[in-house]
Parts: sequence; structure tokens; C-alpha cells
Amino acid sequence: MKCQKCGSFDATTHITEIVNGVKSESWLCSKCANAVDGNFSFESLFHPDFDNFFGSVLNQQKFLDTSALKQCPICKSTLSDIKKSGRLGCSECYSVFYDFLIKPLKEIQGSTKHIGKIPGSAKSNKPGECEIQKLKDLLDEAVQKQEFEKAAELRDRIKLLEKGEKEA
Amino acid sequence: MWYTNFGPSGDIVLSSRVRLARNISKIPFGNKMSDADLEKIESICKDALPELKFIDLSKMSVFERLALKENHLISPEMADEKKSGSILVNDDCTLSILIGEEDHLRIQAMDSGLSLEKCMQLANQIDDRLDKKADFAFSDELGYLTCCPSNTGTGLRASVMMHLPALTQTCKMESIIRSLSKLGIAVRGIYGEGSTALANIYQISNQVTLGISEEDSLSRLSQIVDDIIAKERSISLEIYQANKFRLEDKILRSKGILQNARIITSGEALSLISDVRWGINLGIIKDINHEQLLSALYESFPATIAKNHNTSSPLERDLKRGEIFQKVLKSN
Ligand SMILES: [Zn+2]
Ligand SMILES: [Zn+2]
Repeated sequence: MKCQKCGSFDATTHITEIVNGVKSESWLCSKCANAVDGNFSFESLFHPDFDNFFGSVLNQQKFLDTSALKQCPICKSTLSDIKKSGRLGCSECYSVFYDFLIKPLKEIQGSTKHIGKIPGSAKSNKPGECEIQKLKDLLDEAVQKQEFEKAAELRDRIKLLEKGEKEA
Repeated sequence: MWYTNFGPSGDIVLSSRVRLARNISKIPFGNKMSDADLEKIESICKDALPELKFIDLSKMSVFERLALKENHLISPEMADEKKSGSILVNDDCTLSILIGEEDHLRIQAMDSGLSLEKCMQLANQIDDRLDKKADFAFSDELGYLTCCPSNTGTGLRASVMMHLPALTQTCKMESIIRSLSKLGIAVRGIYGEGSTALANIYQISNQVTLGISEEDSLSRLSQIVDDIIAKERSISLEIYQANKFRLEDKILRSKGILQNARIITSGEALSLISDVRWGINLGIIKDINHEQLLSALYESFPATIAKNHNTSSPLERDLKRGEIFQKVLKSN
């Protein structure tokens, strides 16, 4: 059953109103029901998220026609789906549509480089980098203590690891 | 409940909230996932956080859902649509994990007054425990990947709800909003009819989630909130000194209506409460305190009334609301 006021959403709330002694009943969607109650959505303030801000920024970008054909292999989203909703369908979309996303992302965020928290899975994927950092810290320490033999040894190990990482 | 407590800087700040958006890799985001995906995510969360209470939203009535929304445990989107989803909640309701919104998980921690750091600590702790059981969608370059790119990076939205009658009355909010938007801070008001914010309540939140750490986001926001608090307090005193009798008259009239009216709509209640809050801060009202006012406010939200008192019409609810304010705000 559709909302009897706006006609566009499913009715979820049954409202009985008595105006000047006349009882009227109606089925409304939750949005219209809230409006009837004079509830100015105090709670919605608590959950500030942007409606379709990203979609509108994305829409201002010019893309080649062929890009419209591109589809995410995992969730089947297309660029026009993303423009319409301002939402991506899965994490894979970020790599599939990377070229289209990066400019608008820079525009709304001012940066495209994450410098915050890192999940455990990402830390363990890169043992090399952690290892290198640890060795570099030890190297600094060795140099400060003027332990040059140890420092030279550390330097060699770091070089070896860095080379290995590039090849991989 | 926490939301009726008087927290740090509680004369101006009603509440603080920190939210982390997280998705589990290899599962489509909330807008594209199946019921089986949702169940999988729910079981991961239950397994990681066994002490939290699990609530299946699909098993609840509309009013029960709306009441959860009024208590900030779920988002309006989750209450609005007839869609599946669930939450995990702690004992004092300062933490809820929304499962199956547009992002798989939204970890939100809330508390009264200005308490961003405390909220961040709790959200972080929960995130760490989930991280041990779940493989989060993450890229080295873009950080935590979210359904809407405006959350990608830290996935952090920190926000503070403030009551600013003096800054609103002196038309200073517009310029504050303009200058804060340049700093990556968003200000929202509840707008009824007309352009001034209803009940003089605003929410200040960070907007940027890339190129800034969680710590810096939080400290930048706190600093701005501190500035606004100081401005509001000083302008409030200036207004009172310049218009003593007019302001006292306005505030005491509002108090009288709130304590004596039979029928009050929720919109009217909000604007009367705004006056009374201000009156308490200025020492004009001494026989009502902030906590009484907050508990009446939360008790009188429409769905909460409908759920607690089984009312069926808006008029019945408005009558009930009048009753609640009479009872809670009885002169001591
Ligand atoms: Zn409707
Ligand atoms: Zn996808």
C-alpha cells in the first residue's frame, strides 16, 4: 500500500486524527507521518551524512562515452549507477572506477592520501615495511652510539630488503 | 540514560558522538548485499563482541524502531525503510553498532556533553576487537573503503550537538557556518518553517576523512567547539545585561507554558525548551535543572510516547506530552 499523502513511498504508519469532532484515518509513509506529528527530526541531526553530494560532484566531471560501459565485476555497478546514487557498490568499485573517482574525491576531501588508522590485516600484509622501519630505527641508534660495524651490517640488510620489496 | 545527563560543558553542549564506518572485504556494500551476506556480518560481530545485546530490527514494529531512532541507537535511514538490519548495543546505550546500513558496520559511541575523546576511545576499542575477527575493506592509499566516498579514509564522523540561542539571536551563526565550512567542518541545524534553526540547536561535525588522522580530526573539532562555547557564553551575558527585563519576560513566559499547557506539539516543545535552557544558564530559572528538562524532552518524543503510552493519534500524543512536562517540571 502506498502512502496516502505523497503516494510515492510504502505506507508504514496508521494515523487516526480527530479534527473538529470528525475522525479521519490514513496510512502514511514514515516521512509524512513524522511531518504530521510536527517532529522536526531532532534525531536526524545525530546522523550527519551527505545525501548525494558525491554524486553531484561526480556529475560535473566530463567522461568519455565508453566509460559508461564499464562495469564492476563483483557488484555489477556502472558509472551511471554511481553518479545517480553517489554510492559505490563494493570495495572493488574503488579499483574499477579509480580514474573517475580520484578527481572528485580530491575535490571533496582535499586529499587522497589516508594517514589514519590501519587495520590488522593491512599491517600483516606488509611485514617487509615494518621490518625495514624497525631496522632503520636500530640503525639510527647504532649511529648515535657510534657502533659503526653494527651500523654497516644493518645498512646492508636494509638495502637487501628494500631491493626484495621492489622486485615483489 | 546518558542523554539526559548533564555532561562536560553541558550548559551549551547536549551530546557528542563518534562514528566509524567499516566494511568487510569481499562482501558488496549494504546497498548491494544479500540477506545471507547480512547474516554472515552479524555472526562475525556477535562472535567478536559477545557481551553486547543483539537487536534484530526486522522483528520490531515501526514505533519501536522510531523510538530507537529517538534514543539515537539507530539512524533515521534504518528506522525509515522497511529494510533488514540489526544493532548491537551495550548496557548503558552509549555504544551501538549499526549492522547493514549503507556501510556494513557503523560503530557509534555517544555521551552527554562535550566528550569526544571518551567516545573516540570506546569506538576505537570496539573497532580493534572487530578487527581481530573481520577482514576490513582497506586500501593503503584511500584507507577504509566506504559505500559513500565522503567517508573513505578514516571513516570517522565526530559530531557535537550544541544549543546556541545567543549566537542565533544576534545573527552570528551564518558567518560562523561560512567560515567553518572552509575549515572542513560542517554545521547543521533543524529547520522548521523559516530560516532560523528550530530550538537553536546545531550540530558541528568534521567533514574530511582523507589526509587527516583521527587524532587531528578530533582535536581540530574540539578546538572549534571550545571557541564557539566561549563566544556563546559571553554574548549570552551581553544580551542579558542589555535587555534584562525583556529576556526575563520571554523566558519566564515559556517556562509557564511548558509547565501548564495541556496540549503541546513536539515542535512547540523544542522551542520552549530552548528558552528554559537559556533561562537556567542565566540563573533566571532556579527551580528546574538541565537534567529534568532533558528527561522530559526525550520522554516526549512522538514515537517514544506512542510506544510507552500506546497512543494512536497525534492529538493524544500532544496531550500526553503536556502531561509529561507538567509532571517532570513541577516546581520544587
Ligand atoms: Zn508519504
Ligand atoms: Zn563493485
